[in-house]
Amino acid sequence: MRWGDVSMKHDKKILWLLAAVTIIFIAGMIMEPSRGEPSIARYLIAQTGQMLVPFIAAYIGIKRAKAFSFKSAMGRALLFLSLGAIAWGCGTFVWLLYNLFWAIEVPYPSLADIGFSLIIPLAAVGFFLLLKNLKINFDKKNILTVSVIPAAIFILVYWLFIQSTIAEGISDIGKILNMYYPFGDAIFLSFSLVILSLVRGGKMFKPIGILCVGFIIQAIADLSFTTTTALGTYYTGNWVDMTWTIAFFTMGVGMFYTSEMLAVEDFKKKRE
Amino acid sequence: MTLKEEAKVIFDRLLGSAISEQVNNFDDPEKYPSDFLDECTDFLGKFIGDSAAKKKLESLYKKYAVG
Repeated sequence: MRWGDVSMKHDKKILWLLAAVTIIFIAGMIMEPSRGEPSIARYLIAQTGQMLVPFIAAYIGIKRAKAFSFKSAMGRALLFLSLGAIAWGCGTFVWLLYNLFWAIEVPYPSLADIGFSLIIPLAAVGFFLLLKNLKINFDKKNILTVSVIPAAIFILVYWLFIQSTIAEGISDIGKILNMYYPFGDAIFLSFSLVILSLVRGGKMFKPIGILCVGFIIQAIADLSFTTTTALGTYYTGNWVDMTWTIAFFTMGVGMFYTSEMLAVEDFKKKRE
Repeated sequence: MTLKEEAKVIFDRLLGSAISEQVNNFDDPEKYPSDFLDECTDFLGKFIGDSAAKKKLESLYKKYAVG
């Protein structure tokens, strides 16, 4: 038995833990009655969930990255994404401090954005390295494919958050971040979608596919956050926070299923 | 570098040493380079799909004048 067989049984527990934490905190956000009124319970439920889910996902990712080896493109992609999830969790912690100690309902932009914003370059670098290793040549067609989604999102967010009336009254840093989050999401989502198109028929397809779903949910959450904060309808612990929690849960599941790639014994047995 | 070493580097850089070590179980690349590369392609195809695997190992096929 190799690594995969031995620790898969133990690993299932961490997947169940990830699912349980996600369900508990989303249920908490749904049932918490304050509905936007200042509430310590709401801050704690929403932000603890958003810390724990990325941290558990990161634990899974780092474990998998180590199994692949940190020198490999696959291992690095998982490691960088996990570090991004940890950074996100730290950003959430800072956000919670603003909620609890400074009574700021929506600290945006704030120091918390240092943590939140780091997931974009980290995930983009990780998935770019994987894509670069898979794809020997980057011809014009591939560059165009990689650029389509970010370009479309850039035009959309520029129109929404710079040109339109909802951008009025938003600080310059706020405008930059409103552009940065959705555009950044589009970049690493684009890398991962190209990877997905390359690895059809392989074991990598399933985990990368699940990760892509997670990235799409993350992009929807970021776009929803920037829109609702601009409109003044966002509050900590609302449906946007639930969407982020689901996004990190999905990423954790995607990273979990990379273990199927490590079960190399199956292939040997089939060959024999 | 030998064919086997070059193949292992490709697996190692993409998927890590736990997977690249499996190359040791394939046909002798000195005697049967074509069979060895076919096995590598088949094995890599399990991870990234046959089409991507063929492209990834194309340079080795060309270099070792097989296929």
